[in-house]
Amino acid sequence: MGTFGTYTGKMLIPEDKREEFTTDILKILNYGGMMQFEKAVICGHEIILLKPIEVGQDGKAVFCYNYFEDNIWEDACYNADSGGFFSGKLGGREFCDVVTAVHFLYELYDSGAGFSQIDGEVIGAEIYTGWINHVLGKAFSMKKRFRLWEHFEHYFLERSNPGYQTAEDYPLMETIPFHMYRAMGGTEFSDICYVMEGTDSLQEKEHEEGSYPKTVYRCKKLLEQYLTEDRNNENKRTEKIWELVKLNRCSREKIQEDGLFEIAQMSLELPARVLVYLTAEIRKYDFWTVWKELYTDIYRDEIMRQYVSSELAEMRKREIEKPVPPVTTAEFFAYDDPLLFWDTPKELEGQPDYRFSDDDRTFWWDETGEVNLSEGMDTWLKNLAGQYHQLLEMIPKEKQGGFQEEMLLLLEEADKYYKRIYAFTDMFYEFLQNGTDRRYAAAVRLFKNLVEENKASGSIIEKMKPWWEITSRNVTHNQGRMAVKRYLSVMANRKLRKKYFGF
Amino acid sequence: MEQKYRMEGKADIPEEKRTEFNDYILKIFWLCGIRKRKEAELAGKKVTVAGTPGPDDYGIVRFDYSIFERRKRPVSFYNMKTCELSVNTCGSDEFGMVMQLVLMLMQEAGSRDFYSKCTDRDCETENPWFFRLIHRENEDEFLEFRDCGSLLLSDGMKENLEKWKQKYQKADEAEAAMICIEEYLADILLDLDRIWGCRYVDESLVREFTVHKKDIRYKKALLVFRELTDRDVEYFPELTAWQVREWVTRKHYSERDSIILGGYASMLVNHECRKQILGF
Repeated sequence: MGTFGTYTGKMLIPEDKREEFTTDILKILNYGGMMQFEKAVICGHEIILLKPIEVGQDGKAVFCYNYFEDNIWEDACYNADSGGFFSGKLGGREFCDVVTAVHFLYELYDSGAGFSQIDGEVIGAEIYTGWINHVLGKAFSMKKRFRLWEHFEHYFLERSNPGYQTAEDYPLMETIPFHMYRAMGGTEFSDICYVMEGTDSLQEKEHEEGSYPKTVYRCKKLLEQYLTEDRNNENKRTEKIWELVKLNRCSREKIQEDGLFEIAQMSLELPARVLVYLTAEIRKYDFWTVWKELYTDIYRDEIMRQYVSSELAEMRKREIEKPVPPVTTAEFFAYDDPLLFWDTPKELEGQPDYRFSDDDRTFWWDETGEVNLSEGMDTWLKNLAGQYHQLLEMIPKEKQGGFQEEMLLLLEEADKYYKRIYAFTDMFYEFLQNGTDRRYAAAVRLFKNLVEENKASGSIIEKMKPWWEITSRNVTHNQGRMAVKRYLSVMANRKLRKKYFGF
Repeated sequence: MEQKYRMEGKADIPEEKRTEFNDYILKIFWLCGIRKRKEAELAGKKVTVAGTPGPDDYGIVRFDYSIFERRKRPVSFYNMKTCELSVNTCGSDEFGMVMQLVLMLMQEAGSRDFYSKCTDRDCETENPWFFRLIHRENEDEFLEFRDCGSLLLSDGMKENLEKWKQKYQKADEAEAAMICIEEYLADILLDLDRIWGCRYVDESLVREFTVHKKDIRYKKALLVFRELTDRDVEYFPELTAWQVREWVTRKHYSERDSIILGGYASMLVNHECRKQILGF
């Protein structure tokens, strides 16, 4: 039980792209809030710290925590040496979404076919690519998903988690973002439909001359005649078709045998798959059983006619190739799900629901404007800065005794009371190393005040359910807890800290 | 899964008031979208249409459908002789809400003040608020009932009304003239149900179009209708129109699409609305 994500492709990142890919995947994980734990044992205190994902000496980046979700899931791992990625249970929120985005990144880099899936369901939404474009500053499109036949083949013959679905179960329309479906049309789309639905709907009277249905219908009739006119040699004739689809163009042009000649002529303008699925249908074979034996050896030299107007061809190309508009991190994690707040305690009635925003991303703030703090956050930080400076004034300028013990105790207390409150590794050691610096001492005292002042609103965490993920976000991300958490995040961001607190 | 249960009620109506009361109930049914599914034959094909609930020779009114809920229900009854309502598994959506409303009215009918409130003016005002009762933000699904100008329509529906007007004006008369109305209409109605999940059209539409089967205006209206149901066909020329409807459109329409398309049928049935949009 649990939610699992997969990438069905081979995760084969070319060597010359490996470094770029590693940089990109780490950035996605980082901006998605994935963090690693580190334990510091100092003076008998065990302090859990957080740090952005990094690749260890063994070439692996292992992680299990998402900072926005504040939750721990099964270990996931990126192997920078092999380019592979593994994950276990993901939950259904931020951790899952970031891993799914990683799978989308594999789709974008992997030259072969592959789908991102959650619990076996193909994910077609472009929001993941949009977020990737935002974080990485790139302009990926969804065009790879429009390699329809290749993906169809991959789904049934090559994917890493084969299921028991039949052709009719293929989620064709779900492989493409909902609003782009009109760009899916083409002979590949039609052939997939014919494999899934059969060709009984092809009727002589209904097809326009020169249309693709007419061409396929004609081929079907030729094959029917060839395969059924001599019942004693059905198998032999079928074998001849299988042989034909492996011949190159030159050899097919030379076929003169009665009955086979016209089929060979049609093969010059139709993909081999058409002859195979029509033959399989006529002989009542399972298409995939047959195709599995043939597809690596079939001809690929057909010259197809143009079945669409140039306007429609251009529209398709435009739609398929257009970059997905960037999606900000705040938009990416904006869940519109009432279950997020399921069973919010009565004590919190009347208060606005917790919503993820850039105010939760102070750790990532920089001057680029990628993180937009709200007015409320700005006011709060200025207010804190005012308190900080007052505390600083109260600390004598002479050399101080260290505040390290106080800080360690505070961190333990904050984690115990508010739950899942962690300092960042760099910030933690920076403060320890500046243990006699009054500026840091004032910051620790401010932290102490915050821990005390927010206990009343933070006490709601006691209403937490047995599992974090089924507890209302209004409880897990209550105002008191978030104030303490955000303060530590600001302290960890030197640029932001300098901007408001001056050090 | 919906629980199966019956709802029953009886109103204690003095005999001299019974006709008035029954008219009131029937009007509620009509305005609140309650209908009886019927089968009509068109060009040898059986299509389902929505008929107005009315009494049979024994005074029994049968109904089994809400045009807003769009779900087949078991047949329920209202007995006009005894003012009894008997409802089979109505659920709590659009169909069930009307039944609750009717039961409330039947209870209130015992009060002395009831009949002085029950004027035609009151019946007409019930329709305007009904869309809120069934959790709609607008009256896009009410094109059958009033002229377009008096309805609270969404911007999207207004755009569609304009689009229909323009499509009708541009419709190819030569192509329209070739249509056999009965067969064409039968195929459209079957597609509305099977492909688009639209509400069943009012039975009067079938009657009227069959009567006017040689009228070019009606043929043009159907040509536009087919264009609307076949909106995806032009994007998939490598499939037949039938295949596009079955394999693309049927798997890829939204609830909103069903409402808009159902709205076109409603507009055709409402002569006032149709005159405003199509000009006849």
